[in-house]
Amino acid sequence: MIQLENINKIYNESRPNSFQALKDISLHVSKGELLILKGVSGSGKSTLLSIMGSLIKPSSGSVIVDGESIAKLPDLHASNFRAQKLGFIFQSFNLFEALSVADNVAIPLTNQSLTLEALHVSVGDAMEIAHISHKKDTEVRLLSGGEKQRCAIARALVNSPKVILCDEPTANLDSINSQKFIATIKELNALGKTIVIATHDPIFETLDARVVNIENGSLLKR
Amino acid sequence: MQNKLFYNFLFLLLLKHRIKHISIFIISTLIVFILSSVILLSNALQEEINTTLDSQADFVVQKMRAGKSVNTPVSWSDEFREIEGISQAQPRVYGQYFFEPNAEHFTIVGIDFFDEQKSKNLQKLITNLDMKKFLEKPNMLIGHGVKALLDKYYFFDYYVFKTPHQEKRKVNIYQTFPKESSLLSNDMIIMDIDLAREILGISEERSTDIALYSPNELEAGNIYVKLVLKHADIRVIQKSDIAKAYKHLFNYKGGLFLILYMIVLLTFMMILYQRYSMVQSSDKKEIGILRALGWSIKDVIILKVTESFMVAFGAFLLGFILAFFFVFVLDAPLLSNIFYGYANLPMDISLHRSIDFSLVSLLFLFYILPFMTAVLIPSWKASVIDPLEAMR
Repeated sequence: MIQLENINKIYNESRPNSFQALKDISLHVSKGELLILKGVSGSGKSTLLSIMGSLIKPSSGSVIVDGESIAKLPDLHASNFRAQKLGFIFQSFNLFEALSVADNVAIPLTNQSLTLEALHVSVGDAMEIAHISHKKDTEVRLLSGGEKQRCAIARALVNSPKVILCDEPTANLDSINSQKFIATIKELNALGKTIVIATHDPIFETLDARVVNIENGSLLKR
Repeated sequence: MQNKLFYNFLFLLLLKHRIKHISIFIISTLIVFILSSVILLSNALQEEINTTLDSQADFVVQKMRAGKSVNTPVSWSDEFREIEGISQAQPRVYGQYFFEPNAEHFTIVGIDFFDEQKSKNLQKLITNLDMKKFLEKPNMLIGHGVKALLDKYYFFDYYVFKTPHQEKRKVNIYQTFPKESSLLSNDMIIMDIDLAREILGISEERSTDIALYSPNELEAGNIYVKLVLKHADIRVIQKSDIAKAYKHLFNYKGGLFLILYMIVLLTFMMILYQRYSMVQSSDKKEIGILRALGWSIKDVIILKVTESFMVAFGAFLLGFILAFFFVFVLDAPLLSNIFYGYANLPMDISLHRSIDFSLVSLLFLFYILPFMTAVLIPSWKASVIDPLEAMR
């Protein structure tokens, strides 16, 4: 599902403050696989995740996701790719605090060619899977951390993505909500979603998942 | 073309961001209100002046003595009638009357009511007048400003004028002109020509000046020369000279306001730039989230520009409607004082509603372009950076 070959990422290239965040990384993630990218802060895991999600472009190397080469996609195509194939769950949820849960979940679909009815169905289904339907009309700012996370999960699922990318998803959750998140991840994985989680939280060690360690921008072999 | 879902989201954002937009909305509304008021007022005044000019005599002739105009011999009018191209010569009797109680001046205009009135303005003012009843007694028609002043001193039905020979002459107030005609008639008193002569001390052989009418504009140059050659002590004022005088007066005021426009627009742009260029971290984060969730740079810019356009357009519409109400319903208090100016009595005018749509479109363009630019550039800047960085 995801194939990374010889990925290098240098920030501020050709400048005195240039910094190589990723060094010659090659990684394959199979369809339906659950992968944990583990590393301390600044190890390069978020950068790697962003490259997988076409949020940033690698300095060199190739990235193929679901058969599509995304390393050099222009903005419009990269955006379409994200909208159709990816779901993101971020560390600090990144929700629109003033909007309701349902409005937040609907955002990835608002620039798509959908009818209002189809949007409502997709949003309803996503909220159902993420167990947040009961709060659909509540403004996000009024939710607890766990509820915000469930809202973020629903938003990541609303476009029925093949791949879900999670960046430090439990960093702002207590242990009970972290456990709930893990349970949801298991459910999603069981639905056949390919999931990549960048984290340094040991709680994910309980998951039956492949763990890849990353340190100073390079993958460590176990 | 964006779909319905996009616009739903847009309105949702507008509603949720209302606090963010409110300051810009208020400032924009105020600026549009001020600029539109000036434009509407000056345009309406221009229309009034054009109408006034239309009814002016083609030439006005005065007798001069030592560089000062003095009463003109009525006999001159017969000489002028002889000039080819002149259709009518009408000696006019008018003059300023000092109203002692308030130290103000009225303009007394004497009319021979049995003559055909060439001036369209005068025609307008005396339409529907029962001539017989009016001329039965010493009566006068007065402007709105005169009425207000006489009322102030309890002269509700009449006023007693003093002639130059210190004789008293009681004249009844027959009617007050409508407020709509105030630009023309505000300080004016219209009465029978003989009564006016008596009050102003102008003998039957004299008039204040002589109005000449010529049906052929192309003859104006020739007639002017012929008139000037008639007498050594003559002054000939052409209609075009009057138009020029009005234009100079308004151009100077217009220039003043042009500078004000520019200052206001510059300030407005600076406020906008400051407001939108420092895209707040929350705005930047929103853009980052949208980008991460599959929105293209184009989508984000369309969203931000449309959102701001709604604010800008709403403010423009409200500002313009308020200006319309201010100028045409409230008669532009304060602002009107700057524009009208007055020789005798303060003006109190109800303007005729007229809008120059090309000027309004120009104002819209000059307002909306800086507004949109101030939004477009920072939004674009925030859209092109790495979404993860924008979200941090």
